[in-house]
Amino acid sequence: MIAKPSIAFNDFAGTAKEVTARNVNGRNVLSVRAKQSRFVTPAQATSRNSLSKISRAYKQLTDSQMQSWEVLAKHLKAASYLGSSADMTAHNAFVRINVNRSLAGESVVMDAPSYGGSIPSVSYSTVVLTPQMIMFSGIRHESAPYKLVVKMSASQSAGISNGWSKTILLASDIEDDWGEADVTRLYLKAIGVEPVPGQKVFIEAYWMNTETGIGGQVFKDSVIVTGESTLQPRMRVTMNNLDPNEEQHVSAIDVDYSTGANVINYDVVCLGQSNVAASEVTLDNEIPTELKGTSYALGRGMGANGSMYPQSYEIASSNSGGKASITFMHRAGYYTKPTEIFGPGIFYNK
Amino acid sequence: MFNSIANNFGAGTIQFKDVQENNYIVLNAKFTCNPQDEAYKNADVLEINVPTLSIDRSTDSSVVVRFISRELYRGKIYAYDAGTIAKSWIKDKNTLCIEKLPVFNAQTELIIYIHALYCQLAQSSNATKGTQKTVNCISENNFFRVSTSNTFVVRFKKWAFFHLSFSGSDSSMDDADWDVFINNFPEDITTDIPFIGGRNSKHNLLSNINESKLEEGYLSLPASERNFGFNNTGDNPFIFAYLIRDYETAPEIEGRLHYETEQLQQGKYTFFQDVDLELIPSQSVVSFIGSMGLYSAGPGTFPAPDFPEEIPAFDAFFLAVHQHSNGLTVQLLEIQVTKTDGNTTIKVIDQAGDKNLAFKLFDTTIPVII
Repeated sequence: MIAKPSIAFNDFAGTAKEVTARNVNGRNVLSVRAKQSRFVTPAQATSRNSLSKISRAYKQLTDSQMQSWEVLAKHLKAASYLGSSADMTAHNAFVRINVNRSLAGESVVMDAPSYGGSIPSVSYSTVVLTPQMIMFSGIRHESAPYKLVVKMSASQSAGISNGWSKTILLASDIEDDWGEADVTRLYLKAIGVEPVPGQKVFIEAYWMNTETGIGGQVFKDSVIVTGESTLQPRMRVTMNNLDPNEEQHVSAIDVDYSTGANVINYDVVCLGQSNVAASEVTLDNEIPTELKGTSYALGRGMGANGSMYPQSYEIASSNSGGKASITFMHRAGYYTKPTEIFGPGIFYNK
Repeated sequence: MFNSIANNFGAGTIQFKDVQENNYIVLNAKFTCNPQDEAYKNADVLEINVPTLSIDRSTDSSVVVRFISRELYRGKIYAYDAGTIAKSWIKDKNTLCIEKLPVFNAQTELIIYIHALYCQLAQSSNATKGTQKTVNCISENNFFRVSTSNTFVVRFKKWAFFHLSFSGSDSSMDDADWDVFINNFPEDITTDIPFIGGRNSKHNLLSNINESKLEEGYLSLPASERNFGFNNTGDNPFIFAYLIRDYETAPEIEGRLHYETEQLQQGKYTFFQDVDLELIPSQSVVSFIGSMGLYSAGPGTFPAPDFPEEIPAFDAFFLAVHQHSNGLTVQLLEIQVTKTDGNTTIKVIDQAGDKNLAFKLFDTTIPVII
């Protein structure tokens, strides 16, 4: 430790035994000396293994390939810890692009991708941040080959204004579900603890072209964690909404009412019953009154021999005793079990 | 209406009828393609490049894919046309996709029918209901029969949904061409439409699918186009389609306020049909079209759901006509549109002393805003 004694014990800096001292913005800060735990998590092991493998692969490039990476590197800039942009080397570019690709499930490329074309910028309307739910909504969708890369921090004090250095990668292959991306499970897996109401979480997000591995401009955000969400989830019925205590006659169900049109969207696999050409599900809650009613949709048989007989189905929903039921009744075409019912079904007053 | 720009499976130019709203589109088209074409073989998904659509993606919808299959047996040609439905979706603003099904790989010509609605999810509101209208199939000696509870149309201004469930026909008509008038069906729909049947006996992974025609309210299906065994009603042949009407696009005139509805209803038996009201706020001119058939003095007061907020309450006098056995009567009507607690009513008052409200109204006048 370098000590510059003063009557106020200022300007201590360095480490002595178990204590580390430093001066931050004029304040003397003492803390317990941080030690490397020597424990490597599985994620760290995978990442380090991947990094070293990719880094070693650079040596296998031909001269012309290295030159192509040199050209690409000139377009890409690394942000140094000093805050100003620094040029990237061909090796940096090779590792960065291929790490990005591997995170997105793509293979290592030896030829540098062409840089041409801009990457779309991230835009979303809301981030729901509660201990139970972490979800982006109103994401402006980008089609393949773009996937969303999201990094988030653990919750920090609300007084912290710059905590982006603390963000951790949640995933680099996120696809929005009609503008929504629920990252609750990813957050808990990466961070390990729920966010704390009243505290602040820092967010970084960007689109990545998974074919080239090139990422777009990083969008930075910070959100205060709330206790409860005010976001109204869109009205849909999935397997999670089915009553586990009731017999169900589907193997998959996604009935989405959020069309804003005179149709309900169906994506259901009906298994049928032994004695009637219909399949029924029972939900653990009621359906809103205005969404009860009758609908017609098309289905296609999934015969074991590969048969694909088209059929029409009348779909009726009703509430009773705090629960709802949806019944898919075969009306025309050659009846088959199982049948997938898909697409928009006209919704009407009978 | 628009033409396709290109496609990746060797088909020619495809003409589409279209209804394009900001959260869904309805498309109608019919075209052919050849699975033996190299472009078709090389495609993983059939893609059609189209002029910019009003939506940039959609959920999966469906189209009908069919091929003609005929066999000569003992001097007579028998039809065994077959097909199924393929998934179809809007991939981006300029690309319509159709699932490529391996079951058709051996064919030399496929006929694809698009009578589909493509919708989006996570919209600002949930699904809303249309109104079902039962249709009656009228045929000579009632040879053509349908399931009345499963045969209906849901009508909108620019498109309609149609489901028909065939329940049987007279055997005397087995070799005759079928022409059936569908009462209450929109007469401004003209299209070739697939009639989907039961399991196909020659192509056993597929269903019978024949081509019928809808025009001016008539459903036509010639004998030569009906599959052998079409009348096996255990197979429940059916039609399922989102159909585009031949609507006229009224020019958008800024400031013009419009209310249109197929039918207003008072009680059980009193209706105001085909209502079309337009009010031009500056200069305050209102045009009103509609008809009633009430043979009593009235007045008739109708709730007017979804009435535009921008149209204020008003009182106006119109001239209507009543055609009767003694000739034509011109009738003075007073119509009051009033608003209370968010609800709008339209009150029709006979001011001519005719003591009936049976008229056809198509007049323009100057309203008094109340």
